[in-house]
Amino acid sequence: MTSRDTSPGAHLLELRGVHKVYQVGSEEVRALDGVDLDVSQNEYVAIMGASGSGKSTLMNLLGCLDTPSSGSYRLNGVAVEALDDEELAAIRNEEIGFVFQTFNLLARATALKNVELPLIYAGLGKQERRRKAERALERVGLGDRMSHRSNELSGGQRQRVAVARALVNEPSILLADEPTGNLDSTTSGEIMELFDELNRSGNTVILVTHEDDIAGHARRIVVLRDGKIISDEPSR
Amino acid sequence: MPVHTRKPTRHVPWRDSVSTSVFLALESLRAHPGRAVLAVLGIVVGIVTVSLVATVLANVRNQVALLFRELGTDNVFAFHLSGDPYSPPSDEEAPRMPLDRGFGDVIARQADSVEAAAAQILIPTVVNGRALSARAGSAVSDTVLVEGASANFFDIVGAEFAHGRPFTDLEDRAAARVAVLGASLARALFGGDAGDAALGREVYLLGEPYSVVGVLAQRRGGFFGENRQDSVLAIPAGTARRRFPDSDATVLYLRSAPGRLREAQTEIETVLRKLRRLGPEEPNDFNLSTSEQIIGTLDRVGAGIALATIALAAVSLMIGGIGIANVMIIAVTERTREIGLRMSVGARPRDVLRQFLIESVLLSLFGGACGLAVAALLAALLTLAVPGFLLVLPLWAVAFGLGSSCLTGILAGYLPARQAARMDPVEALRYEAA
Ligand SMILES: Nc1ncnc2c1ncn2[C@@H]1O[C@H](COP(=O)(O)OP(=O)(O)OP(=O)(O)O)[C@@H](O)[C@H]1O
Ligand SMILES: [Mg+2]
Repeated sequence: MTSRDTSPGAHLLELRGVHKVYQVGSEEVRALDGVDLDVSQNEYVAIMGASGSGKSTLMNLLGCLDTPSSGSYRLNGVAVEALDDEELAAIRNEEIGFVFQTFNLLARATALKNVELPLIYAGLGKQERRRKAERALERVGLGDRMSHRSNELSGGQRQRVAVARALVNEPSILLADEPTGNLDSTTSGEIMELFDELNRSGNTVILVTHEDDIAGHARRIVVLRDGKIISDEPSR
Repeated sequence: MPVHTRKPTRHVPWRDSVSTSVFLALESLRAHPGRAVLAVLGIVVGIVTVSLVATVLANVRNQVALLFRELGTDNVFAFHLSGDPYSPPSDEEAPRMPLDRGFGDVIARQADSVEAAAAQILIPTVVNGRALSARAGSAVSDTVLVEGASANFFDIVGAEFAHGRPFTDLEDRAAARVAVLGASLARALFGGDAGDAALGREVYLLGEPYSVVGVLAQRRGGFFGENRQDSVLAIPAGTARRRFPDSDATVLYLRSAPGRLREAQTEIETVLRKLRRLGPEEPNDFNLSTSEQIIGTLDRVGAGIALATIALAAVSLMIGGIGIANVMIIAVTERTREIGLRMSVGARPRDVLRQFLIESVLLSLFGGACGLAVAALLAALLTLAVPGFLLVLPLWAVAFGLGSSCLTGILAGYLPARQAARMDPVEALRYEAA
């Protein structure tokens, strides 16, 4: 991991007065309504809140899949709201590892091919892609399933492949939107152990969850309601 | 503040886009074979039509050209009608008198650039309401083409003898009942490997015997493998005049001195006008042509057909393109989430655009390749079905087929691919299949 400036005011990511407004018919939906949030390197954050409170909207902004309607978002010192599509794509490729509730794997492609995907867009050569993808799969404990197609894997294994894909390009942040939402409790536990371990080895992890025991893995819990942060505390 | 450094542009190697796209294209082909077949059907039909028509056209043209060249590239043909001598004349030309056989000798004497003249008298295939047939023993041929020929005719048109000899001047003048047979006719009347067995034997025409003095070698050119000259039963011109007094349609074959074909044509025209006693204002009442001129006319017809073929190709490729575009639109919609996922791991709009363009081109190329394969197969079948008609798909047809299907793929795939590239990643990831 590259060393980053951790002096006060220089967080890995900084949100200031972030709003996200959707126009639904004649009505305005304020999915995010003035969010300020700082996250430093190697933090482990859980975002909670009722359904519709804006958690996914926030994650999409953090993941540079979307840009705020107003307010500012600095990631690694870069003002994201000023970037164009190409630059956002580059940030997603290099700085962000995203894990989805529904895995989002290419069903007929092998685990290895799925994990190689971000590296293709990074412009890496075949050999290096393969080497890195293998290492990432070994890290998530799937060293023996590399050439399985993803539709031949169990839910937990699929989510491991997705995690491997998220971390293969060594991003600054791992973002996970309800990563255990489609998994049973045992498998959920295994996935959470994986995140714990990744965080211990230096990764910054932000995840969304509805469940308290999942959130309990994190060291900081942020709660949203109606697009606003109503609480931001260390977890017990 | 830490200054984050990013590479300004990433370069995704073409090889990787192509290999991923090949993988995905094959996957979607395999997942929806029926749809893929429908998609490429238009392209297949288009490519088959074009390459086949073009191939047949090129082949027929070469064969027919050969056929006319066999009549001698140095020769000027004179006939009182324009057009096919075996077809009835137009109303305008109907009153014209046939050319006189003796004109040939006059022209050869008076026109400096004309070396020799031969005459051919055309006998209609139906005489007195009866189709002419030739008989030898129990063998009968109905496809016989009877014509009268001067003694030097075979020499002037370059016809080669497999066996025997041409007529003599004496046989011509004496109206002797002798005959020279085309290769196919000899085979039909005297068996497959007749050889010189036919020589000296009798052939019956309208109940009268003619003794065979020569058998011609197989001709090279032809139309769909057929050369009418191979079915010829030639008798001396003098004999023809006596036995078929109503048949006076005479073609004069005038051989020009080497390199003086143009000049010969002008001189022949002058002499013929004089012989026909035409006034200075009167138009020619005869027709002069050379094999190159006939081939030229043929090529103009061919060019017309080629143009029509290209138009046909354009239309069917357009229909094919619509099929491809349709499948690509479906593919883009179906794979909305995949597109969102790709964007979330760093695919730029142009990467997505490229991927779907490659898929579309692959699909079209697949159609084009199928089309070429079908065309090659049909060409092979045609070659088998029509003996002597050798059809091979020329390289340019293959290149054209693949090139035009590639272009169709790009044009048809562009809008769907752009639609994919312009998707909003969040929307795409939220997409639920209907
Ligand atoms: N594309 C959109 N168009 C219109 N409204 C939207 C859109 N996306 C989100 N919203 C609205 O924004 C609000 C926040 O949505 P968001 O998906 O962030 O909620 P969430 O906290 O993730 O909920 P859940 O726990 O159910 O996933 C909701 O009211 C939702 O209806
Ligand atoms: Mg959500």
